[in-house]
Amino acid sequence: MMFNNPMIWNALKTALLETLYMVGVSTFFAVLFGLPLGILLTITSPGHIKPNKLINTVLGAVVNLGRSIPFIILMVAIINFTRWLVGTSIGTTAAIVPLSISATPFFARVTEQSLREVDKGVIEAAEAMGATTLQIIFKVLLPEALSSLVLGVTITAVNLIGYSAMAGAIGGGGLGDLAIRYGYQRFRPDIMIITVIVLVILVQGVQTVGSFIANRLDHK
Amino acid sequence: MGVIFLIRFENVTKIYKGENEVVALKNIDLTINDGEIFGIIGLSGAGKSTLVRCINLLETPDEGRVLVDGVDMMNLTRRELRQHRKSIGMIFQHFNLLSSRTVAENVAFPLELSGVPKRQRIKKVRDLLELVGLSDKARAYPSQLSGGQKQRVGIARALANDQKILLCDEATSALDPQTTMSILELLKKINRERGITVVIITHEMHVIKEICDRVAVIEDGRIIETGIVEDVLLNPTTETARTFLKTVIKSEVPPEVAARLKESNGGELLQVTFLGGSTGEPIINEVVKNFDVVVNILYGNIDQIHDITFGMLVLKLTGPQRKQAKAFLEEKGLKVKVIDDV
Ligand SMILES: Nc1ncnc2c1ncn2[C@@H]1O[C@H](COP(=O)(O)OP(=O)(O)OP(=O)(O)O)[C@@H](O)[C@H]1O
Ligand SMILES: [Mg+2]
Repeated sequence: MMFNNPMIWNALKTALLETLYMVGVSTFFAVLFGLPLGILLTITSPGHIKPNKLINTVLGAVVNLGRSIPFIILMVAIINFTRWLVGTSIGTTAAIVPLSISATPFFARVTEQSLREVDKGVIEAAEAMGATTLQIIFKVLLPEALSSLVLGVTITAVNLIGYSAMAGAIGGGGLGDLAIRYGYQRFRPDIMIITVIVLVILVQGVQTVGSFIANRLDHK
Repeated sequence: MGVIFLIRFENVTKIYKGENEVVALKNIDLTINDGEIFGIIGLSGAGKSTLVRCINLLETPDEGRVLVDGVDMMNLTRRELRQHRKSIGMIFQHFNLLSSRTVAENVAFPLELSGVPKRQRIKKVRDLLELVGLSDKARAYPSQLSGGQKQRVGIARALANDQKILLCDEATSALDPQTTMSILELLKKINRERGITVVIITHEMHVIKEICDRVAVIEDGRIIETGIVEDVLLNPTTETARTFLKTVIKSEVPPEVAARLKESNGGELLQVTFLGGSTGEPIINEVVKNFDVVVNILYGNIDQIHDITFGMLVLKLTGPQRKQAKAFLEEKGLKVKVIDDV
């Protein structure tokens, strides 16, 4: 009965676009803030190009703190901040705030992990050639880790698809919202199922594209 | 003023602090001249890498001074140090190329660091790739190259800024013997044609023998022997140097031969070692002509360092004038040892 009901298709389309919007924008912010954090975490670690125990410890602690707060609690805890920042605490735009905040420390760690994989010898060769710290970051670390960073962005986006569904469940819009409203509250298991299928396809799609790009960038 | 030193270590000590302190270098005094190929040989852990890394301050000495081209490297600001590092090229055992860059881009890397404009970079890279014989691989990625080709890229990269010094940390240790030879040839050519001072560290004596002018033997963080390669190789004064020597000069009778010698009875067995101008052959000819003896060459080994020939022969002498023959050989400057027990 759902297949000939245009209203449901429209709802599904809107929900998908909302999810893409939430995930897209919060992935963008996670990378925007997480990447520099990850770079700092890496280069200030012992034995790296700018070892600094204080910065490294403080940043590490902040990142760990961010990662240890469950998303659902974070979302509620920062409601006032969200309202102050975007003018509302419900809807997709509001959901982007906690999504970005929770994904940022995650992506920082992902970045750190990728950058640490860059061969020490290559970094040292650059140092021996008289490269500055910034040159090492932008001409060695990031390009050498690019493929792995793309995979990191992919994982972050996939995680955010899951979290966005959670955000949706408490009034954030998107596919999660649709599933709860129709599937659970209005006893429409068919809609629940189709929503899940769309989510699965979305995740597969993001992962496939991410892996493909990462592969193309990998010259190891 | 004549030739002056290019690199000088003055009383350099380096200690790695940690749970158990390692004294990697102890009071090193060493001078490397402009335009020479200088070898540093030692066993694993002897301090070779530490020594060479003190030249461009990848490691900072705890004591003493390192002078490069008259400049005390430790007195430089960070900025000045970076500038000076640009004039010192370095190649590595594991090549350390950027895997995300093509061959040409790798060679262009130090030029980018120095802010050389693109058009000049392209020309320079083309020349360098031609120098190392890799013009056809410009667009390949390092992962598509053989070890020898990778090291050629490393060499091209290390020369991009017209460096005066090339430091080689076990640059051929990951390569097969044939490829090693071709890389050594390339280093020799660069040294000859561009006048670049080459510092080579290795644990392989044949590398030293092949291309170095002078050599230092390092053991437990100390330089235990240093001098012209011929001198150190042929008249080693330390046990370590002798051990290295054995790897290139077979002055000992191999066991299979020794077993055969034991079976051959009668006559007298002599081990004759010769060094320098005259090779063994004509002298032995003279022995046979001038004395009433029969000479049997049972084993021989001849090699060359630069233009000095050296080697060892095991001879069996029979006949009445053995004693005179022996005296004659010694007179000719050969070292003669009677071996009754091989
Ligand atoms: N970063 C470091 N921290 C602590 N100890 C070190 C460090 N680097 C080297 N060492 C120690 O210093 C000594 C000299 O090391 P070095 O790497 O200079 O030897 P090497 O002659 O180059 O050996 P190899 O032939 O194995 O490369 C060794 O005992 C080594 O364990
Ligand atoms: Mg070493």
